[in-house]
Amino acid sequence: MTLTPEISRTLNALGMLAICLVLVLAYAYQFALYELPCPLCLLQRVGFVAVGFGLGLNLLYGARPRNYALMLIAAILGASVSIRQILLHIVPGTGHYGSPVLGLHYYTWAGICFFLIILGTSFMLLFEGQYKTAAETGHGPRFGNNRLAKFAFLLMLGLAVANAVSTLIECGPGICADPPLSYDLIDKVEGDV
Amino acid sequence: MIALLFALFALAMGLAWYDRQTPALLVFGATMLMSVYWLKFHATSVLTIQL
Repeated sequence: MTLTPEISRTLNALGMLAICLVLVLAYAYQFALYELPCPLCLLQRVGFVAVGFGLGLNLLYGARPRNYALMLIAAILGASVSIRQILLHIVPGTGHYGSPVLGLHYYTWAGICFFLIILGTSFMLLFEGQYKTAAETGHGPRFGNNRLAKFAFLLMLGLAVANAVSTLIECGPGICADPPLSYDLIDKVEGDV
Repeated sequence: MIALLFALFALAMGLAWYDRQTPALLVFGATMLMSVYWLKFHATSVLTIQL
């Protein structure tokens, strides 16, 4: 089976959208249930955004083994964080953090997602037909005229910026509280008024 | 400081958008190292498990 650069770019865009969906769902839980993400939860989001950087390079300039390697490194970082948090609560009676989603907590879902990212990225690396240069395929250097790829890239960029702002509001300029009890920056602003 | 990690990854994506791939990769690498630091920081801090 041959994987063309066009199909590869579309698959990468779908992967990027899937990661964006995870980040949007995390936001939905954060704001709908007022469940503030803990520092390890935030670091898992960082892992998803870091995976998004590798995907973004694939979307911008076409698939390269280097970009898949970046995704694997980022996914291993994210998986390390989620496994650490799973181990914190793996012993019965040691509590949990946040509400369960379909029976599993967010950090467990994150661990599963990072495992799937590692598996999917390794699978994508199998197909060498996707590594043709832009000159060979006749596409421009950016996004290969793929609107889905451009949309996915901009959505991830927007979510990264949004997470930077919301994390700054939650933690302030210093170290994040563990566990967080309120939005630190809002408290400081209200305290000054 | 975790907010800075998100901001730096956004910066890396912005640099890649403008075809500055080498600076983008450098920012990505530095941010990954900072992420590992913050993982170690929070993973080894005193636990507050509610029994």
